[in-house]
Amino acid sequence: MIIIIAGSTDSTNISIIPENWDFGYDCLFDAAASGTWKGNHPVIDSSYADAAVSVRASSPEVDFLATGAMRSDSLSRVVFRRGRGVVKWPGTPWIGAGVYLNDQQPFIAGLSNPVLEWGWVDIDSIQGYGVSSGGVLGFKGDYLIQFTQGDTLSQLNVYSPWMGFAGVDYSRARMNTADSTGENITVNVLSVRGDFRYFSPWLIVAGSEGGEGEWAVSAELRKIHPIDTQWGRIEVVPGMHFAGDSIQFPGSAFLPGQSVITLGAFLESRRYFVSAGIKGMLDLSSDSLSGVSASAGMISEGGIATDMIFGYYADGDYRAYVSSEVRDSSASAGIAVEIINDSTRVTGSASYTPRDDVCAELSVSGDADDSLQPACYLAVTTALGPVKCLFGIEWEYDTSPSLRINLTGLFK
Amino acid sequence: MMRVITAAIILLLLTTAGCSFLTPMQKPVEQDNRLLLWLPGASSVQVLSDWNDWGGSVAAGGIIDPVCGRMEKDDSGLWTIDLEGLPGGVYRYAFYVNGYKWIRDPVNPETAEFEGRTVSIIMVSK
Repeated sequence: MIIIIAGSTDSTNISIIPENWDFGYDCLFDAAASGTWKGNHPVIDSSYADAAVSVRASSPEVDFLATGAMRSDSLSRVVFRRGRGVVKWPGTPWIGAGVYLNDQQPFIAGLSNPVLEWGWVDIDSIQGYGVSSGGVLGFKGDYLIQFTQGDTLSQLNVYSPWMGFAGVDYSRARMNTADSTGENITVNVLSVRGDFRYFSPWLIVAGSEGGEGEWAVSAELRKIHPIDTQWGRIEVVPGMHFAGDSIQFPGSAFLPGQSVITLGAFLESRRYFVSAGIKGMLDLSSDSLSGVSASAGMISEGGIATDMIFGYYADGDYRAYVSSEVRDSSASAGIAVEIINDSTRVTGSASYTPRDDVCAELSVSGDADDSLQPACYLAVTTALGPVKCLFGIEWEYDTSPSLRINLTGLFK
Repeated sequence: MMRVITAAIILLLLTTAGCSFLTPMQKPVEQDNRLLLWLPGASSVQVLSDWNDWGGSVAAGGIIDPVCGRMEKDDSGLWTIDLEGLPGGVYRYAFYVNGYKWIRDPVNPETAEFEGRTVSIIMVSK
């Protein structure tokens, strides 16, 4: 006797995926083409396509990530890789350590998402290595070292947890140049933020090593509310920024010799879409930054959004911007005026939204003087879930119309 | 002189238009720890900020993650995003509308600069 028993396999206990493991992937892509209208047809001048794919696996004890990225344009095609591994203490996400490797680094250090940093540096000139860890009591830290054309950039960051009333972050960056005549730069930044019952101090102390006066300090007192009602409140914010004469920092976070005292008062409504603020700035070293600025905004029940910004400075410069727009779910129309010293520019805009994920916008602008200098921009945008598409036509006086098509998306 | 008069007239018209509906729109009751933007006709709105590396745009040379800081729209046209869990700090932020247009928060009076743009500031306490 032959007995045949057939049935489906009980799959609840059989899986190729280990228990407690999570697998996933991200795919970011960005492609664009731009050109100009010549004769009676468009001509594509440039185009590119970027893509980055990440595969990750995680368990309560370890995380792994591998990312590959590619950029392709009319001139070249480059491929980059990145790997990262993190070991965690099971059940305590704040204790752990990680290491990552960037091959010809187009990636932002420490980020696990497939974000690219094209254009920030020469994309094939840097290799970077780093470690990151989470410490006891919620402290976190990371160390990154990068090599670029003989120069070495090292960076240390330490972040404290919020300790009930304060938090502290420390960063140290050092650039050693390969050129013996070049100048090595070291920057230390200490950031302290507190939160007490009646005020909240924020303090940043920064110093670049070597020489005198190479330090800077920036401080603000927040959460001072002389008027606080159910309708809204006014916050007064005193602040000061001081930098030594010979301070050196990458970027322009602190300007050498800058000594400024500020005082602002800001109205914020809890119940309504309305706000206003005024801020004064006194430059102790020169008059270049002294001045007063003010802003106000409101959205009315009638669907009118109004936005205003004014600024007047001791050296005679002034700026004003006023816009007002009528909005509806399917259309909007507005006008904006921007005045910068003697120049005034007026912009009119309108939009049409045939469905929730499609919007067409047209803006036309011109100077309020004899030169006019008209310009217009038409954009049609769509947002279908994680995929966005833009088609734009821009025209300025005395130039050919330019076209742009852009497609961006992220799949997970 | 003509330009100044023209600008003054336009400013007056704008102000008048803005004041013609003086009753401000009411916020939803539960608006703590959230950013709000009333923009019913937009196809998409994202919040780009210091806390999310400006959608990757700072280091990405202009590529902005299309889902980073994505806001959700309700039936009234109000876009919202929850800031719960954000570490304490002072952050700059702006709204990125329809995948190409940057605007500051129109009902936040505190402003700052980011790459030549006027953006907004928010303080998150912990």
